Amino acid sequence: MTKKVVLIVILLLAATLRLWRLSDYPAGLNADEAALGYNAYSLVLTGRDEHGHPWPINLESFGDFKPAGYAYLLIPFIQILGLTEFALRLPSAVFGLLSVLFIYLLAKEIFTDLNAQLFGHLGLEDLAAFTLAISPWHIHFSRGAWEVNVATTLVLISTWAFVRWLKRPQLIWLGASALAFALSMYTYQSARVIAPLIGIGLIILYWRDLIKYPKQILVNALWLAVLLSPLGYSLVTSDAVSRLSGVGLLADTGPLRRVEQLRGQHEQWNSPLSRLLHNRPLIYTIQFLSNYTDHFSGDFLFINGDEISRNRVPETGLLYLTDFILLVLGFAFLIRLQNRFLALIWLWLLIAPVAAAFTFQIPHALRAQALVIPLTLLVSAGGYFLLNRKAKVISAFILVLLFAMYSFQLARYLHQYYVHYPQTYPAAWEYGFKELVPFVESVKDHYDQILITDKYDQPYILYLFYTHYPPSEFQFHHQLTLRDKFNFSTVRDFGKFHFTSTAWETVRDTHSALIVAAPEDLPDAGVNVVKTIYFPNGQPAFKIVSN
Amino acid sequence: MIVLLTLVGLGLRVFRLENRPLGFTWDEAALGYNAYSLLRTGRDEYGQPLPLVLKSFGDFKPGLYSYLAVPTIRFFGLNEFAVRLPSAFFGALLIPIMYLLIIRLLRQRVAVFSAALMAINPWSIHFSRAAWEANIALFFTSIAVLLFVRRRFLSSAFFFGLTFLTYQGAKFFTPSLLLILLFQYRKSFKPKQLVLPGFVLAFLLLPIVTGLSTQSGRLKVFSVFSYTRSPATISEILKQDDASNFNLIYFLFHPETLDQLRGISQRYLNHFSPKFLFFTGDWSNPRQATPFVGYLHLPELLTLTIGLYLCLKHPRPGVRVLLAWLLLAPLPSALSRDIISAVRSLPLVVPLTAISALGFSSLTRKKIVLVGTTLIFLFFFSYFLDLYFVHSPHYTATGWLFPYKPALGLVHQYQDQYSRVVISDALGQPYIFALFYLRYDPYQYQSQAFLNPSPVGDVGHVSQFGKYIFRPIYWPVDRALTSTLFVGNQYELPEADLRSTSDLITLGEITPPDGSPNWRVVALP
Repeated sequence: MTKKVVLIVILLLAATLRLWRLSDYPAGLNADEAALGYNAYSLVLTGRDEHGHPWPINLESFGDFKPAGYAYLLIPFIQILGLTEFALRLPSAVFGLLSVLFIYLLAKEIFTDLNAQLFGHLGLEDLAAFTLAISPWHIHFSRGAWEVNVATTLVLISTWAFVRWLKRPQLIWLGASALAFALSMYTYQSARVIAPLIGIGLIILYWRDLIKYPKQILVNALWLAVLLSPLGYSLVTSDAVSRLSGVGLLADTGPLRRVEQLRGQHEQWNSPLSRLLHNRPLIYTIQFLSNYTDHFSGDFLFINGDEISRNRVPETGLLYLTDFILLVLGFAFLIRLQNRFLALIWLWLLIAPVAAAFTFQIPHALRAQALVIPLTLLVSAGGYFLLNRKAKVISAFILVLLFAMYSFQLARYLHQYYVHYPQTYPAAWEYGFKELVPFVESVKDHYDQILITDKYDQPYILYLFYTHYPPSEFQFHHQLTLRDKFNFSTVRDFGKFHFTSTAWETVRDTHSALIVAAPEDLPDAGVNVVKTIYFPNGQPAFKIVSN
Repeated sequence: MIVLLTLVGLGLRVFRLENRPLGFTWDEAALGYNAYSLLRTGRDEYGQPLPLVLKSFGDFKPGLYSYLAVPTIRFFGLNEFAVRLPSAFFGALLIPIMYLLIIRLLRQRVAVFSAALMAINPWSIHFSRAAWEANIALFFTSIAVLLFVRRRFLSSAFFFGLTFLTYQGAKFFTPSLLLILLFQYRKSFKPKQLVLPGFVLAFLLLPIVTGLSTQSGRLKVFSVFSYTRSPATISEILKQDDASNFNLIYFLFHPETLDQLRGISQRYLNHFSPKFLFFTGDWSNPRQATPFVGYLHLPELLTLTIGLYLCLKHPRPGVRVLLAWLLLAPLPSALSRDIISAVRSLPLVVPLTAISALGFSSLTRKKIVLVGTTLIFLFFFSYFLDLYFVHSPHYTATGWLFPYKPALGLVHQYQDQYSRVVISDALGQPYIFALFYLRYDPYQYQSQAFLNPSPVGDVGHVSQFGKYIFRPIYWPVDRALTSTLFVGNQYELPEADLRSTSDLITLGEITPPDGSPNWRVVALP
């Protein structure tokens, strides 16, 4: 009974942290979210995505071929709640909540012998659920239409089902594990690397259990083949792998330049020694290892987090500062435990950053988000170790101490998230379209053309999103541009809307036009600004000019 | 075997010691010249007889290194090799000490690998190849710990005491390590056994403690606590909080102490980051790193992980000492202003190498794996040697103040024809290089030494002695001087201006290999 109450309280806490003012915070709506939403909307109404592909596996979107899973997941949410920010972000929040539940279930399966050791009722699973519920890393990616959070949750569910199967080898658990595993690969790019690696790892670690049930393996292999065949087909027949050529490790030519420079410093640049020591395979291997291990650096995990403003709250790490201590204790504690399922935690810990390490922009909180699961288990193991004292008084004292420390840190995190985040990085979430679009809509009939600045990422999709522009009118009536150096493309024109640079000298002679300009594009005087839209910190985001 | 490893290690630390790293820092020059001054006169550059602390640039270096350099300078003359040799020598001696220590703390097989890994360790090699006091202090610390675990408390106390006389950073690290040792081995000695060693330690500490007050300014410059957030940052926070002055929210969520705690944690954790240990080394100070490599060989990523796993799995008393050492070593660095510092965290190299050797040992139980792993290590070792000996001058020459030596060589050659020598201070502390490379008579210098102290307690500067003047060169004015020799960089002595100066004599041009500004030596008759 007490256990149930504790779990319910933790889930309520997790839900509050994930749902409170979800449509307003993070402040704004980013282009990837809008794209998922609009494509789902398009699928609901027409059965095709924004570019007219029927029931796609991957969304062409900005040329980045997002896995379409999240868009399909959105369909019921949009049907019930309409095309709103809340509907768009709700699935990720719900899966965040599911993560908290399933980390509880997973920890319960792994640490059966530690159940109900603390204060007569609690076990490691309660700490794990609580730790994940208040984890900054997990809260951040549960708030917003982040596909990664859904994918990570699916891998977690898959792992849990697998452990269940190891304990009670019935086909249904293996089948469920395969299902969740396959679905994760339809949801997020990184999962297409991480999930198979974790799957292979599980097979290697527990092959002795598996070969006892050849029939189940056969059935499950067929089941998996069926589940993955559409994905395989789409990968072979489309451009979906192109994403990697834009952000992939090998696309970064920095290491190659360095090889050339170093070779040039040898007396004979082409001597065998110089070629042995400075070459492509070696330098990219080193670069990969550097990328990979960067995800374990303290600055990234505990102090400052990611560098990309969309993935970081100012002055916070991905974990709490004091988690470092619990993490070390957790390591020391778990390593000495005799438990055949622990290998699973180490496996997950080692594999989670692999996908991110194959790209540049390192370390990457988003692409390596799966790390939050093993780290949470370790932190909670550290907490368990501290709390599991012989003397009840000491345990109680430590509980109060930890509770105070983490309440404070959670409060500080929330303060940073709700107050400082929108003001410190106002443009991180493309703030302003929500206010902009209704204004433009109200006056658009007075102008022949409407020019909108392309300063903020992919404005066209935000415009489509906020106007609920009829997908049937948009499909086939627009063109994607050629790819830029990061392999992204965009849509420049639809209807009378044009998304372009609004440098004043290039647009000043466009007449009967409403120009939504980036503030720095306009001269101080001689411009008929009819409205200015501001960021949460009071800086102007857009200036609207009637020309 | 251990003798062989030590010899190999010595070879690696002595080979081309005079010009790798290419250049010579002012701290090296100061230690060298003070040693020279002690050798010739028994006094330091400021005329202090047999000092324990050198005033130097106003940074008050513990003086032991200079005393160690006295015999080498006596033997090899006042040159870079002689000044660097003590560090190289003690760096090599760390190899057998490592072996003896790890036999005590872990076991023999691991000890052999520890010695081998220490012999080829980039961190140890880097800091053994220049006059780094920290490297000597590390040797003293290691031998003191070794003697302590062998219960030779008296000699242990002696060496612990010497660390204070050798290196600033030891003031924090040595006591904390000592406390941990006393706690760990509390059952193996009786309190009265510690009385005499305690006196020895206190005696050696005395000069440092009495000197503390004069050096407080310097400590303040280096302490992380001296650097608070700017008013602009604070007012931005207040603005975002929609508050006009300090309020509850500010004291709760944005106090200075919290910010400093984050800063210290960041510095502490940086020293355990893979970037620092394996990939770039100290990124805030290129002088303390070899370009593109860290302080351990890349395959040690694996051996270190295995070793750490084993350490945590079987935390025997010896392992506990290593783990405590590991956790304490970055503390002095975490409390100082730099975001990371390889020299202040140098003691980390001992536990890291030992743990890595433990992993290596358990990984290579099969002969074939041993051979394969050794080959991989040798490859990455060659990779390091190549970067160190061939490539590093292309990146760090000016960081190591390369231009002084050739420039002062030219000064030495031509100075007799001129009554005045003006040397630019663009690279910092030119006077000590003039003393060092011109082998200026210490007797003569002591009488005229005058240091202008820094107003903020940082290092001061010397503006002239004898006919040598140290200041920025401003050619439009300086071109009017006569019978003067100038040393300056290409921005202070621009080519166009020099060409328009009628009777100018160009004596030489120095091009650093790292592409930084050229240096010129010119003269007006």
